[in-house]
Amino acid sequence: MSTGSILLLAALAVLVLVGARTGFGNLPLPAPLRPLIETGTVFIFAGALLGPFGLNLFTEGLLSQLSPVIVIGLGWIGFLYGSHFEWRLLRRYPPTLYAAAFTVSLVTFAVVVGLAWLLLSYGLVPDLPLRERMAAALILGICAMGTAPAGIFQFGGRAGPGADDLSALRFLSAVDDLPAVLLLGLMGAFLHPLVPGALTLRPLLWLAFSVGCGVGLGFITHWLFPARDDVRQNSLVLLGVVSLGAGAAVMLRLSPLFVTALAGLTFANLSPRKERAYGLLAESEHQLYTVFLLVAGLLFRFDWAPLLILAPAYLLLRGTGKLAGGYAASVGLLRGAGVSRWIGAGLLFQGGMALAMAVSFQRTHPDTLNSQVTTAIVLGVVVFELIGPYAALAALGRRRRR
Amino acid sequence: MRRWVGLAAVCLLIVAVRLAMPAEASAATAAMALGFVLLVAFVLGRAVRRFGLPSITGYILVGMVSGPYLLGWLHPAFAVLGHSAVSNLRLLDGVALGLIALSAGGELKLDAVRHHARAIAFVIAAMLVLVCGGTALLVLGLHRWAPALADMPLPVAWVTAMLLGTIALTNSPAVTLALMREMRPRGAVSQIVLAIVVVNDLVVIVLFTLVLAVAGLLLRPEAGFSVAFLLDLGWEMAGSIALGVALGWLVAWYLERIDQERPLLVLGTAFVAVAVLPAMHLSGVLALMVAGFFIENHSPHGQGLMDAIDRHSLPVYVVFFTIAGAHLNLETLARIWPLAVGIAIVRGVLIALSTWWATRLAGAEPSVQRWAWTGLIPQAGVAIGLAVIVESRLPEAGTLLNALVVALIAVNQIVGPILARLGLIRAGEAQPEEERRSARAPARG
Repeated sequence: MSTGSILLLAALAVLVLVGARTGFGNLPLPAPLRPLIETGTVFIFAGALLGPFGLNLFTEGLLSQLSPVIVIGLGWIGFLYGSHFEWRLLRRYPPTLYAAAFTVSLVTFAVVVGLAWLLLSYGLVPDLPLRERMAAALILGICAMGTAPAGIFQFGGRAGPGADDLSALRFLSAVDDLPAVLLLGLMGAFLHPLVPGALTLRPLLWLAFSVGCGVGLGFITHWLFPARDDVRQNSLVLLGVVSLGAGAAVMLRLSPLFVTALAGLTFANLSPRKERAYGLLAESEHQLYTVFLLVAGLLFRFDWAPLLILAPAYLLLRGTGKLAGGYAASVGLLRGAGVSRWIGAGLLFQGGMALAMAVSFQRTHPDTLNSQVTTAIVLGVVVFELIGPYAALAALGRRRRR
Repeated sequence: MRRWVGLAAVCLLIVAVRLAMPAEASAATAAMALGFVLLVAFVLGRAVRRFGLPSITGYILVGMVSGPYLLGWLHPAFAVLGHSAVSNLRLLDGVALGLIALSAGGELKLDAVRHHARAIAFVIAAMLVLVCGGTALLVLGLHRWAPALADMPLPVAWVTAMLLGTIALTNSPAVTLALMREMRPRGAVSQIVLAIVVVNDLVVIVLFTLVLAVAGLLLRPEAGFSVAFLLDLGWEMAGSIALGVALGWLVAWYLERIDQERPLLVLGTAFVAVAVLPAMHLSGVLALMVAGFFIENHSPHGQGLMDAIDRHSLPVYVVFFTIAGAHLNLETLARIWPLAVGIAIVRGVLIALSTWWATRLAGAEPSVQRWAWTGLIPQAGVAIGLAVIVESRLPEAGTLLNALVVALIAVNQIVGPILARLGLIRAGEAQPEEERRSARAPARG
C-alpha cells in the first residue's frame, strides 16, 4: 500500500473513533456552530479537508480503494431504512398523516426539480445532453425531499415546539424519505444509463428488474437468516445480503438504496426474526453514518462557475419547497390537528440519507454534472444543519410561546 | 431446505446480473462478489459440518469454486471471485488478516504459555530439525528423479531444498483460531497448538531471512555477504514487537478510559496496523499479535476486547478463507500434484514425529503427545508470502519453488483443517457437530 493509502486509513480510523467517542456532541464550540457537531456535519468538513479539494491526502486513486465499502454502506443504509416499514406498525397511523408527509415531499420535489431544470437548461448548462440535465435536476429534487429525524429530535428536546407540531414533525420526518427512495428506483429504471455490451431493456423492465431484485433479496434474507440467535451468523447473513444487493444494483446501474430498502421492507414484513436483524442493523448505524459523512466530505469537488449558482439555488428552492409543502399539508390535510402552517420550516434539517442518495447517484450516473450536483447537495446538508434550528425556532418556537 | 432454496436464489440473481451486464473491474463487482461468497459460504460452511468437516473447509471450497480456476476456467464471466474482484477486496482481506492476528495474540494466555513453555520450545526445536531438515533432504533426494526438479543445476536444487524446508515449517494461526472459534475446545492440545503456531511464525520469519541470505550467496557468490539484512531483520522484529506493545497499551488505555464503540476500535486498530506498519518495513501482523497478547495479559479489558472481535469474527473468517481459496492455483496443483502430495505426506509425518517426540520429552499430557501434531498441518498466507518473496529475490529458484509451495498449500489447506478438527475431537477437547446438536436439543418425553 502507498503512503497515501496509509494516511487515508489511519486518518479515517482516527476520525471515526473520535466521532464515535464524541457522540457528535461533546466538543466545546460557540452556540451557532453546535449543530455542526451535534449532527456530525463536522465530519463532512474533515473529509473535505483531507480529500482532493483540501490537503489531497485522499486522492482519486485512494478513494477507489474505499469504493466497495461505500457500496456496502449504501446497501446497509437502504436495508435499515426499508426495515422500518413494517405494515403492522404502519397501519396504526391515519392515512391523512401519510398523505401530509407525501405532500410535503412531493411539493418540495416539484419545486426543486422544476426550477432546477429551468436553471440548468436555460442558464447553466444548456448544451449538455437532455438525459444528463434531467438526471441532475431529478437527483437535486429527490435529495431535497427528506428530513433528518436527528435534527427534529434535538430541536424538540431543546427549543420545545408545541406538542402537536412536534408529533407532526416527528412523523413527517420519519416518512418523507419514502417517496424519495421510490423516485430513486423510478429514476434508476427510466434514466438507465447506456452501458456498452449490457442488456438493453425498456424502462418498465428495468423497474421490474430492480423490484424483483429487492423483493427477491428480502426472501433470500428470510430463508437464510438463522433461526437460532447467533449474532455472528446473523451479521454474516446481513452483510452478505446488503453487499450482494447493493453490488448487484450498482453494477446494473440501478439504485442500491431502492433495491436494498425493498429487501429490508420485504424481510421486515415476512420474517418473525426481524427484530434481531433490526437490532443488529441499528447497532452499527452511528458508525456507518460517521463514515458516510466523511466520505461525503471526501467526494466534495469545487467547480466555481456553476456551483456559485447551483448551490444557492438548491438551498433556496428546497427551503421554498418545504415551506410550500408544509403549508399545503397543514391547510389541506392537517387542518384539525392543530399544526402550524409554517410546519415546513421545521423540516429543513438534512442528514445522512440525503448524502447517501447523492453518493448513490454518483455511483450509478457518472455524468458530467455529477460532482457539481453532489457538491451542491453536500453544501445543502451543511447549511440546512446550521440554519435548521433557527428556522424551526423562528417559525414553531414562537408559536408555542403564544 | 429453506437455506438451499435461498442459495439457489442467490445463484439465480448472480446469473441474471451477469447476463444483463458485462463483467467489469469495479467496486460494485467486488461488493457483489463479497455478498455472494458470504451467503454461499454461510450455507456450505454449515452443510460440510454435517459431514464431519470444519466450516472453513466449506469456505475454502467456495473460494476455490467461485475463483478464477474452476468457474473461471469454464468461462471468465462465471468467476464471481475473479482476479479483479479479489484485487478490489484486498483492503477487506488485509483487515481480516489483521483481526485474526489481534485475536490470535489475545487468545494466548500468559499462564498457559508459562505452563506449557517446555513443550512449546521442544516442539519448535524438534520441528526445526526434523521438518525443516527432513523436507530439505527429501527435495535434494528427489532432485535426480522427480521430473519437475531434474533439470535444476545443483546450487539451485540446494537453494530450493533449503527454502522449501523453511517454508514447510510455517503453520496457520488463522486456521487454528477459526477452528477454536467454531469448536470452542477446552484443554491442553488447543492451548499448546495455538502457542506453537504463533511463536513458530516468529521463528520462521527469522530463519527465512537467514536462509534467504545464504541462498543468495550460493546462487550469486560474486555479490558477497552483507550484514544489512541482519539489521533489517532486527528492525522488523524488534520494531514490530515494540510498536505492538505501544498499540496494545493505547488500546488498553482507550478501553480503560473511554470504552465506547468497541467494534470501531478493533477495526480501526487492524486497519492502521496492517496499512501503516509495512510502509515502515515492520510487520503489521506481528505487531497486532503482540498487541493482542499485551491487552489480554496486561489489561482487565482483554476479555471484553476478544468478545468484541468474536462478535463480528465470522464474516472476517469467511472473507479471509474464501479469498485464500480463490487464490489457490489449481492449474499449478494439477501440473505437479504427485510431487506436492509426496512432500505434503512427508511433511505431515515429520510434524507428527517431531511433535510426538518433543512433547514426550517435555512430559506433556498423553492427549498432547498423541494429537497436537494435527493442529500443525494447516498452512496458509505466511507460506505464500514467503514464496512470493523468494520469487522476486531469487528468480532462478523462485518460479518452481512458488509453484511447489502453492501446490503444497493447496493440499495442506484442504487436508489440514479436517485433521485439526479430528485431533481436537479425539483429544476430547471438543464435541463433533452431531453431539453438540443433540446436547442443545431439548430432552423429550
